[in-house]
Amino acid sequence: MSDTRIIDVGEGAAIPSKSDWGLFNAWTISIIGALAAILYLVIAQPNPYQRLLVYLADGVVITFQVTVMSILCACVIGLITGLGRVSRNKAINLLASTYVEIIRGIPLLVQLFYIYYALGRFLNVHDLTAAIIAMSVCYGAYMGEVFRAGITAIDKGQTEAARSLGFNTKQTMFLVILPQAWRTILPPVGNEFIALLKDTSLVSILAVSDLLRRGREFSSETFLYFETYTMVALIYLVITLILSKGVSIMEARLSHYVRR
Amino acid sequence: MSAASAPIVDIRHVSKSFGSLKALNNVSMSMSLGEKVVIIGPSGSGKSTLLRSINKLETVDSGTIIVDGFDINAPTTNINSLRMELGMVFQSFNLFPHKTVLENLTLAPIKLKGMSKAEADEIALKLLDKVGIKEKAHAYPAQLSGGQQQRVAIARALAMSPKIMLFDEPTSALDPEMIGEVLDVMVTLAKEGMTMAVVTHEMGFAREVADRVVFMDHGAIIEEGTPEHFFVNPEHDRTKLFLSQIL
Amino acid sequence: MKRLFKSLLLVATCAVLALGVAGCGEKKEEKKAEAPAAAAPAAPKTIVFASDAAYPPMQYMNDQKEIVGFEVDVIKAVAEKAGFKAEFKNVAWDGIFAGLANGKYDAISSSVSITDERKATMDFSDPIMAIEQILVVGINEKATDLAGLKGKSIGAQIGTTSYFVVKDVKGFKAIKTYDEVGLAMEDLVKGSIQAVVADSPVAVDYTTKKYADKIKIASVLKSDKVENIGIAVKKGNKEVLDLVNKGLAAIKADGTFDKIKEQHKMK
Repeated sequence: MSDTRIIDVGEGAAIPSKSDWGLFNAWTISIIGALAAILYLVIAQPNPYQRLLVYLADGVVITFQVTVMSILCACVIGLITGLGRVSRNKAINLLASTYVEIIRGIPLLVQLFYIYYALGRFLNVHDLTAAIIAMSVCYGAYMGEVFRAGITAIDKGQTEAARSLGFNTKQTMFLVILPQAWRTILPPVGNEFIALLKDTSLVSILAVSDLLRRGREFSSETFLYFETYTMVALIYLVITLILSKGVSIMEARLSHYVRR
Repeated sequence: MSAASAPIVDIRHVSKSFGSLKALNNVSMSMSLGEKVVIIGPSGSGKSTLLRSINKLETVDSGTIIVDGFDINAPTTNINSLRMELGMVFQSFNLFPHKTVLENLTLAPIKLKGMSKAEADEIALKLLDKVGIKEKAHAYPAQLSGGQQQRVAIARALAMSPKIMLFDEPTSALDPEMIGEVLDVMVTLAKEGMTMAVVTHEMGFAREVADRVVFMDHGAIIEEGTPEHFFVNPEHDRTKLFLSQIL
Repeated sequence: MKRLFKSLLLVATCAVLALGVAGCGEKKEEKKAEAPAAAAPAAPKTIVFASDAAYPPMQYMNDQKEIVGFEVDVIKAVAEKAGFKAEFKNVAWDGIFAGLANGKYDAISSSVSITDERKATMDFSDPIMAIEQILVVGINEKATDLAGLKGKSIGAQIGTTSYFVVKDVKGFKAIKTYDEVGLAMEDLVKGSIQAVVADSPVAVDYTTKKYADKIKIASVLKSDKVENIGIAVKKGNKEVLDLVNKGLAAIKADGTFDKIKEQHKMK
C-alpha cells in the first residue's frame, strides 16, 4: 500500500482502481450471471425449477441462519482466543493455544459428528444448535489466529503511546489496538466468513434441513439430480457473492482514515 | 537554574540489560521541577532507555526511580495514574491513525480524567492553536506531514496537563525542513516553564534551552553540566570526540 | 532438510502413482479375462450390485468389512442358480440411483421399493418380497399413529418410501431426513425426534436388537397398495434383469428362498 500514486487531488477525485471498471468486474458479472440463470430457468422451465425453488426456500433460510449465528459466535470466540493468544498471562495463553491446536487438527466434518452424536449422548442438543456450536467452535479457532495476527501487526509504538498517556492494558487494547486491527483483520476474516458459509453445507449431515439437504431430498425423490444441483449451486453462489460484497463494503468503510 | 526544590525525578543506581547488552550501567540522575535536561550521546548509549525507564516503558533490572515522590516500581504505585503526569513524545509520533487529530487529543482526557467532550474539545483546540495546526483538527494523522504529526503528538501529551514532558528523539524521523517547526514548539514550551527531559541530536536546541546537558555513552553518564560548560569546555575525551563528530 | 522433504514427497508420489497404475492394470486384466469368458458358455458373468450397507438386516457391513444380510444372501443364491457372479459395492443411498443411471454398476440391491415414480427412470426385477412401513417410537410414547404425533418431530431416511409416506403429512413440528436409517434411530433414542418411519425388516431389527429397551414399534402404517422390494437396473438392461428374474424364480420354486428367510428369522 506504499502508493506512489497517492496524490492529494482533493475530495472525491479518486484515481480509478481495478474495481471501478463499471459493470465489467468479476463480482458484477458473476452475480448478474447467477441471477439471470436462476430467473431464466424458473421462467423457461417452471417445471421443475419453480417447484424446486419453492422446495429449497426454507433450506436457504436455515443456511442463512446457521451462517449468521455461527459468524457472530465465531467472532466472539475468535476475539477471546486472539486476545488469549497475545496475553502475557501464561495460563490463558496456553489455554488459547491448545484450543487452537486441537480444533485445527480435527476436520470440521468430524467435529460436527462429534458434537452432535458423541456429546449428544450426554447433553441433548438440538440439531441446529449443534450445527451452530460446531461451526462456531471450529471457526472461532481459525478466527482466533486471524485476530492474533491482526493484533500483533499493529505497531508497538501504538501500545507505547497509549500506555504513556495512562491507559491500562485493557483500555489500550479496546480503544487503540483493536479499532486499528479491524482494518487488517477484516479481509482475512471476510474470507473466513465466506469459507464458513460454504462449509455450512456440511451441517446437512446432521439432518439439518439446510439448502443442500433440501436439494438432496428433492433430487432423491425426483431423480432430477442435474436440475437440483444446478439450482443449489446457483443459490450458494448468489449468497456467497452477496456476503463477499458486504465484506468489501465494510472494508471500504474501515479504511476511510487511510489515504489511498 | 531552579534546582532549589526537591527533585521531581530521582534516578538512583539504575541498571538494565537487554540480553548480554548492558543498556544502563548504574546510572543516577535527578531533575527538579521546571528543569530542562537534554540527554545526548551516540546511538546505543542508553539515553533512550534511560528516558523510557522514567515512565516505565522499560522496566529496570535494579535501582530505584522516584517520580513526584512515588517509586515507580513499587507494587503500591499505580503506574497508570502516574503516567498521566508524564507526557511522552516519540520519535515516530505514534498518533492513533484511526482517530482524527482532535480525537487524538481528547481520547485520554475523556476516558481517563472523565472530562466532558465539550471541555476536552475546548482544551484540545487551544493546544492545537498553540502548536499551530488548529485548522487540521478534523483531519486524520495520515493526512498530515511529519512535522505536523509531531506537533499534534506534543499537543496530545500536553492535553493531559502533565508535570513533566519526556521527548525521545522528537525530530530524528523528520525531514530537515520540518525540524524547525517542532523545535519552535518545544522552545515555547520550555519558556513557559515546563519540566522537560529531551533526548536529541539537536545541539542548537540544547544550547538554547537546556539547564543541564547530560552526555551518555555505553550505558553510563560520562559528563553533565550547563551548556556553557559542555559546549565550550568539555572535560572528557569521549565528550570531546562526540562533539567534534556531531558539530 | 528441504531437499530431503522434496525427495520424500517424490517417493510418496511415485508410490501412489504405482499403486494406481497397478490397480488399473488389475482391472483391465479382469475385463480381458471376462471378455473371452463371456463367449464361452460355462464362464460366469459378473454383475455388480450397489448396496447401501447401512440397512440391517437387509444389507450391512459385518466385522470383516463384508457386505452381508438377508438380501445379500438372496442375491448370492440367485447368482448361483442363474449362473453369474455377484459382486457387491457399498454405495450411499443418497445418489445410489444416480450412479445406476451413470452406469457405475449394473444393478441396485438395496431393499429398493418398487414404485411407479422409480419405474419411470429404471427397470425392476420381479418382487423379492413385500414390506410394510412401520412407525417406530420411544419406549414410553403413548401415540400409536401419525395423528397422535402431531406437533412432534419425525424422521426417516432420505429418498426412501418411508420418507415419502410422511413428507406430505401436515402438523409435524419437523420432518427430518437422514442419510442412514441408523442415524434416525440414534436421534430417536437421544430424543431429538419422537418417531421414525422405516421399512418393516429394519424396524423389527432395531426394535428387537440394538435398541430393544429404548424404542418400540407403534404401528404399521396402513396402505392401500402392496409395497414390494426388488432389484433395480438401468432402464433397458434386459440382460441383467433376465438373469436376476431367472434366478429369483428358481430359488422361490425350490425352497431356497424360504430357507434363507428362516436363517435370517424373517417372517
